[in-house]
Amino acid sequence: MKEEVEKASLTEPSFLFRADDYYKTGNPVGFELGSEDAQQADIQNPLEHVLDKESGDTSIYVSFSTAIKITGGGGSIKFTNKNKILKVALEALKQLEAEGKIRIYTPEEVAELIRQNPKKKISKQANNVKGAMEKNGEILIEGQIPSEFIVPVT
Amino acid sequence: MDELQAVLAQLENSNPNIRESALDKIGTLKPDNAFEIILPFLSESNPEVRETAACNLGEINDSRSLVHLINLAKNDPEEKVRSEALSALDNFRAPEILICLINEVYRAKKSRRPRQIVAQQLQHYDDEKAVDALIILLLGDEDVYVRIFAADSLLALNRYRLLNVWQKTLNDESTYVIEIANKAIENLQNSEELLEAG
Repeated sequence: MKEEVEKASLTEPSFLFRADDYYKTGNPVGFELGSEDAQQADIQNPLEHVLDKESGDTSIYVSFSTAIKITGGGGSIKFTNKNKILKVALEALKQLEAEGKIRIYTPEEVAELIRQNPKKKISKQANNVKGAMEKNGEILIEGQIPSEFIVPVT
Repeated sequence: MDELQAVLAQLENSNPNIRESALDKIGTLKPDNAFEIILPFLSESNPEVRETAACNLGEINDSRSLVHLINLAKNDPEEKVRSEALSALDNFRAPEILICLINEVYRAKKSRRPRQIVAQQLQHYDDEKAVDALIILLLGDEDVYVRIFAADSLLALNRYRLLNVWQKTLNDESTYVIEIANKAIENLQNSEELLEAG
């Protein structure tokens, strides 16, 4: 079984990856900031996205990973049915953020948002969420990434 | 009016956010009668308030909380409240908590957090039943955020019968889970070599 592990460097990843069986080539990813879709999304804060998102929930955030395992040949990714992986250059994302089109949240930034919540039941989860996101190499994107920046990997 | 009196007055407020804030203060101040103050709020109609009551019942280090938190974790109709009750159980160690955590693994899945909390807490129970439950989470849960914590906990409870489980785990999609599996296999192999050498 041929296996390839695409993993970002320890200091700064070049690409962010996303396993998304439902992605249709040519479509953007995520809801535009402030759009009606974004306002109507079920998940509106990063804690719920990371810890409480249930199957079928819509979210203003899209999860990307700094490292992803891609399995080819006779194998398949264990829990993605169609084995569909996308990648986006981090540089392009930073440009979109500079233009005010998206917001990028690192584990530390998500943890800080959670830590500042006045409710103890939420703020106490900051380190837990940070740890989980770091272990999963997860970055959250709020906003819409245009299709021209999205590159199919598999 | 001293601080505690002010907080007790806030607990009577009709605004649930103010009641929640007051419950948080009780959990921090920990007055002698904190358990008696918080307990009635586990039956509130507002699930957010029940959730906050569970959180603070876990904070006050009163063993009488245990039975109430287990009951809430098992029976509350709201998944968020059950999750918070399970989280609050992390402040205690008891055989009945282990049973509660294991039962959660076999419950129909609705959301991530209860299973994630169980995956984290089971590492505190060096018991074959805890290991069996963690194997189910590591090999069978589709949610990487559950498998990550199941892998961490199983590494803490590592033993020879897990060798086959770790080898299967090498096919996981998560690079972190694979990393933990490799570490666990290496630890087992090193232990075996030490035994042979001894």
